[in-house]
Amino acid sequence: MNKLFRNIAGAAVTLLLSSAAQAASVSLVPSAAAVENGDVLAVQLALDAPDAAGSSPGAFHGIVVLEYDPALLSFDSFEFSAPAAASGPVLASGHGAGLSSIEVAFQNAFNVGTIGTFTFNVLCINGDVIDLTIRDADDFFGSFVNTVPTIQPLYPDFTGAAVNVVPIPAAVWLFMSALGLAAGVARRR
Amino acid sequence: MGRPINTYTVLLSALAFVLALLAQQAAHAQGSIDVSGQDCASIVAAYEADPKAVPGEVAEACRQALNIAPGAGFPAEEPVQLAGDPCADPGSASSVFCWGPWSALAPAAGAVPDVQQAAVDPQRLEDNCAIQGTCVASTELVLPIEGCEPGLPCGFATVIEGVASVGDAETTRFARAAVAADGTSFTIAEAGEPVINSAPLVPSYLPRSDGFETLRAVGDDGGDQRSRLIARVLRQGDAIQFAADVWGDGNVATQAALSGMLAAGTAVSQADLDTLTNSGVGSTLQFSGPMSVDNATNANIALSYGANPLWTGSWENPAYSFTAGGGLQGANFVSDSAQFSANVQGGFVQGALLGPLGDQAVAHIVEVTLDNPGLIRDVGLLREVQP
Repeated sequence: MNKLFRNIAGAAVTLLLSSAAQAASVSLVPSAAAVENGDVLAVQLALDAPDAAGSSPGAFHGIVVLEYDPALLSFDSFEFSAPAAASGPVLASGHGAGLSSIEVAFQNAFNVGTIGTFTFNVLCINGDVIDLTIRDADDFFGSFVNTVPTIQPLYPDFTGAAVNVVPIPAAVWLFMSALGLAAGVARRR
Repeated sequence: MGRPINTYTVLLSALAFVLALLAQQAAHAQGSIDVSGQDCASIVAAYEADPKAVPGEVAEACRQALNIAPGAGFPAEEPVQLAGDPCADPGSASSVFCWGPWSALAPAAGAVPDVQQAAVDPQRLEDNCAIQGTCVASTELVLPIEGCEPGLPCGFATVIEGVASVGDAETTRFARAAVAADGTSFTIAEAGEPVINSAPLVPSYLPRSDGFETLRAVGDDGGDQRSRLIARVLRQGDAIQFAADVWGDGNVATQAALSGMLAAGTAVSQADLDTLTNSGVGSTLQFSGPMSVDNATNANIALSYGANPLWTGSWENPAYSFTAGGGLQGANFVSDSAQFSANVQGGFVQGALLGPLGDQAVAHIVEVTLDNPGLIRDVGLLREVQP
């Protein structure tokens, strides 16, 4: 009987949770799940807040900080996707030991869509995993708001990304070795 | 040592004394007890049964009235209206705003003011129930939150625990709010609580499509205190005229914080109030805009200045609506419980007129319990709707 009650209660909770408003999220979406040394890696900064308070699609403002390992990536640029636009300079810092960070202040983003795209150059070696983390620049109050029709705070979840660096296959090494050997033989003849 | 007293001064003083005596006698003669509108038969009967039950002067006045005119002591069919009496309109006699000074000149027509109603009416600072049971109420409004003084910083805020700025109505409180004209600080003053003075803020402004700008101002005190203000603002030059929406203040070390929504500016000046009051028939100002806590609620408020200052308002939300009205005094207004729509179980609306003539706004707070959905607490800045 208890088990039956627990099952019913669990189902009810699940039903309630599934019917609740969808939580807002900010996520990083890499252009590829795997890259190679020398590749260009594009990473979209996406906002998904369809149920946020205020008008839809709204005009969202916020400031995010992306962190990465400078030994694996070199930051190239950040391009805003309209209607999102800069509300301050894009600040890249910490190009030394430890993690580097990029701070992006944006305005007028829609509640669902891409705020902009980071572009990196891949520097890593085989087998590395590139971890990209994202967080709110204001770790106390939070910086996200919908500004239409009035200003309403928003507290999204933040989801980073991981990108694998694919090792060059052994067959490629063998083929290149064979090419080199063939070239040497040809030169000797 | 002092100035010598000359004959001229003595004569003047004597003359003033005689005039004062004459004036007092004249006032006494005019101030004979007016028993029109009273049930004199009952008063006389009560006096005869128990002389302590009714003041002797009242009983005597009633006795004379009964002797002079058999109909006296009952409501006059056509009460005399003074020229310019704002309470002359039909139905205005039952308005608490028509008692005060006017009752001394002409009793309100219609029903005798309900003493019990006046006693519990929160709009009155004091009730001075005069003889004969006629209640003469003061014209001072009772404001749940401290009111605004003309020409001074003025505003209202909601207050909740934590940083979220928006919370349950049950745990939301109200406070006075002020925002520095340069956006570098704000103040939240909650009754019985320490005043919150924000840390120094660094303001930046972004354009908006609705005529406001978005102010983002954050800062710290160099230690653990952090403050933020993210607000819609209207500026005149570099000076903020009106500000609305998100405020927060807290300690990063303890994680303790208070936050909320606000609507603030500078209260209308006394000169502008005088202009509104003395502009003839009366000036009606219309205001409209979304509330801050629940911006799905749109509010409309009309302030009518002039001889009989009053206001009315309506709040529309997809889930509910209600109306209110009440008294208006200086920059401040507050609801009259008798003027709520039927779905309002209780509560109040209080606000203040901000800004200069021609570019004004209203800051107000709402605390009402509706039949459905229940308790609502909100704050809103409404801009003037230009005719």
